Amino acid sequence: MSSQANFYSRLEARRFAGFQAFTVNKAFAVTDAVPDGHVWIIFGLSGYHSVAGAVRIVHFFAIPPGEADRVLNPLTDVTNPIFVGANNNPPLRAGVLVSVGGSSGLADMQSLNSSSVNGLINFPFFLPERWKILAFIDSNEAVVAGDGVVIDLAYIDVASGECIPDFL
Amino acid sequence: MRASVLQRAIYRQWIGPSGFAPFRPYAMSDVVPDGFFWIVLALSAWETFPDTAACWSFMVVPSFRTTPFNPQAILNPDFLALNNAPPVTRSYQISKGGTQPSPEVIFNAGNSNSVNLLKRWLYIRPGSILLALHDTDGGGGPGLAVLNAMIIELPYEGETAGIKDLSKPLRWAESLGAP
Repeated sequence: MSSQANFYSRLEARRFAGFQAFTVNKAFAVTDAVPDGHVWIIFGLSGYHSVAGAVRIVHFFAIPPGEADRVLNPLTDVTNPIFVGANNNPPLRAGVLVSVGGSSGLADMQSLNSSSVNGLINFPFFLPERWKILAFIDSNEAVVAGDGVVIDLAYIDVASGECIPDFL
Repeated sequence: MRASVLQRAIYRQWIGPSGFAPFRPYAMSDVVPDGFFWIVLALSAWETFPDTAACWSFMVVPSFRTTPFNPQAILNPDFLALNNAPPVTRSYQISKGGTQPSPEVIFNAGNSNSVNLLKRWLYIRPGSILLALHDTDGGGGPGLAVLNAMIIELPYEGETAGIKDLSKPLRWAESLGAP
């Protein structure tokens, strides 16, 4: 169980693609919520923005329940109220940055031609029930026509009652 | 450990006092309650009217903390230099350091990007506080500093939720030196 290697055979890789044709508003993508009674142990988190030829910084946040319930991947070019700034710009109503943050000169977080950027500083990271991961474009950068954000997540889904390796 | 301990992770947000030049904005967490400790899983900050400045985080040791908790006073006695500039009374840095050329710790004027303030999970003891502040070169200005955290609060003794390292009594040590 907790110390056995087969625990890690439960690792799942999933891709969460946001709306891929933002033109007026800044692109973002969000994962599904962690199911009730479960925890995700995240071993890998990355993402990219999809329009070739445009460099954009991508930021990753953990979004708590409540706010997370109201942020979904849209089917059209719309704004989401979790963004306090106009056109899907930060700051957020609620959320904690989990990637490297900072200013517009942030080379480590620049995505170009669908190259990925790493979304986590600490591995593994833990996401309790009903939390989500949100990825969006830096506030200092302009909208790119036809843009979208994609999140790639590698995690193990565990039930709350399970014994797991002593990560903390 | 049981996965249920991770279900206790909660989101907290603390807003510092409203700033005005030349005082630097800052934000403090609540005090970790007596009998409990926190495991900080994530910590970040942003500002409502960001100036171009580096942002750092510190854990302020309880026995040297002079303010009770996030005070709504713009000039804070925990800061030893002028206008809320570091150094801070008896504390240690928990974020990446560096000055304005380090882009990952920088607020840009006019952009509400967040700065990541935690290098790794952190245990903090009862009576401590988390603090986000500008670097010495950052100028003061209007606006609020907003500190966001994902934390687990656990009892200091007794229940350890199966975390191996916590099954024995925790010991804290503070070394006293010049300020």
